[in-house]
Amino acid sequence: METARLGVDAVARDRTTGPYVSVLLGQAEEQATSVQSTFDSVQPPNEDADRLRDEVDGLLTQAVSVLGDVRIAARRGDTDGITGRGPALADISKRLSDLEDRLG
Amino acid sequence: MKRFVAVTLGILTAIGGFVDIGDLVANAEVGARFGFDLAWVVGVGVIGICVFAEMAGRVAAVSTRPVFDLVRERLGARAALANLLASSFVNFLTLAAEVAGIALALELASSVSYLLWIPFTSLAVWLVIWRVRFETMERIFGLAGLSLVAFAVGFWRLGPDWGSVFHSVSHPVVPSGEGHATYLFYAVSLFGAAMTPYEVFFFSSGAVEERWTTDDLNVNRANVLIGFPLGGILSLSIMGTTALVLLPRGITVDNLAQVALPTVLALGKLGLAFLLIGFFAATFGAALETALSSGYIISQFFGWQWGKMVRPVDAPRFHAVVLVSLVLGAMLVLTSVDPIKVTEYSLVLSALALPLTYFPILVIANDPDYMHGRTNGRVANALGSIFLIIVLVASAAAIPLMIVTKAGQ
Repeated sequence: METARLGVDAVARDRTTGPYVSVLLGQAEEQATSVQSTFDSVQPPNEDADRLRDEVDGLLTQAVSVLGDVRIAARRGDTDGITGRGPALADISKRLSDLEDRLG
Repeated sequence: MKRFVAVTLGILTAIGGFVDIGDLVANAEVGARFGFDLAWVVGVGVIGICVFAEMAGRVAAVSTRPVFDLVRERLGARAALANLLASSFVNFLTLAAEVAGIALALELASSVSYLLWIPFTSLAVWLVIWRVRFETMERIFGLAGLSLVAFAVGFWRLGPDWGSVFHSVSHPVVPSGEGHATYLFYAVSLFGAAMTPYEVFFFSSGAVEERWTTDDLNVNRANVLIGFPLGGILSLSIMGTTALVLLPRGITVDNLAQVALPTVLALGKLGLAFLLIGFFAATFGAALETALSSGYIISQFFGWQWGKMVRPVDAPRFHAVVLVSLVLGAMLVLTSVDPIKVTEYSLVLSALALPLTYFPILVIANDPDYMHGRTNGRVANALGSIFLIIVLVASAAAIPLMIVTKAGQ
């Protein structure tokens, strides 16, 4: 998520090219998808773990969805579409970070 | 004046040629995870490659024969075969990684998948080996690789706290949240990146191809002792940019786009353009070197006619080995295996194979029958022995550390 945020920041400041940011954001999305897939493949041992799984999986799904939107905007050369999703990326990033802190 | 230009070009070539996909990935990864706490390894690695590349160049200039040729003669077929097998495998992985690196650079410039670029980049590497003069090839890619100096400019523009950087470099610690084993694993990888075996095989075979004699020993020293350390500064700049931008945000480096990101933020589109040229040139140059190195060591072991300057009809087996190596390397990356992982494994295996490369060089550089009064002096032998011990320790630790840390995860 943080890589994507830096990429969006670079676009907002007109410091990068379309092809580069498109690849950068595409790879950020791939990584997030890979993390979600790995997480989902783990069998939760009890009901508490079920609740945690739902919470984390929900956040990861949102993350992958926003990253997908940003990647699509980048491929279309839609600068406003990329920068417009900056706040959503920041929000999900913060929630993931808070969750990480809470879980230790 | 002509001599001065030749030396200057040689040095510039050495700077640009020092950095390859392994250095790009390893230094960026380490900076993003450990900040400057492993910068000392780059210093150690640069001194090590200087010590052994100088020896290899001197051996080639004095004996007019490349190192691998002498290894077989001096240490026997069995020791040379072990060296050949290990070096060929590492060469193969490195070549695959470099071919992927060229394609990844083109992907960043075009957003066309790197997999689609692989056949074209492999063909281009082969055509350059086939058609372009040795010296021209070396200088074009070495000099173009100098555009990686954008990392150094980017690092400066990011405004590091120099006091803090100097303190981290001079007082390295294992950062909190990282284990000692992981720290050591990355230390070994960085060391392997700086001392990749193909560098000395290419360096010594290239010296023979360029018909170096004892008159060229000063050129050899200048190339090695100025060019490689300046190349090391480029490596530290890569580490520095990711340490300043990615580390505070908890970003780990998994792809080439992330390697460039801090410099792009610092320098904008112009910086990106320089980096893309640099990525392309550094990986293309290294692909040429590794492909040729494969041909050199196999041909020299079997006693075949070899040389890029030798017409293909006169050295068909040498050129066939180069071509087959390229095709196999391309096929490996076309399986869609993660090219960054291939690079990481090539670095660890490179560290494992280091003693097989560097021990024979030390032995031959001390043999008066080959060196005719140009054997190692006390300083070269002291440094060579110290580095041989370091190389042995790194080699012994490489695989256990890889297993314990699950390749640095």
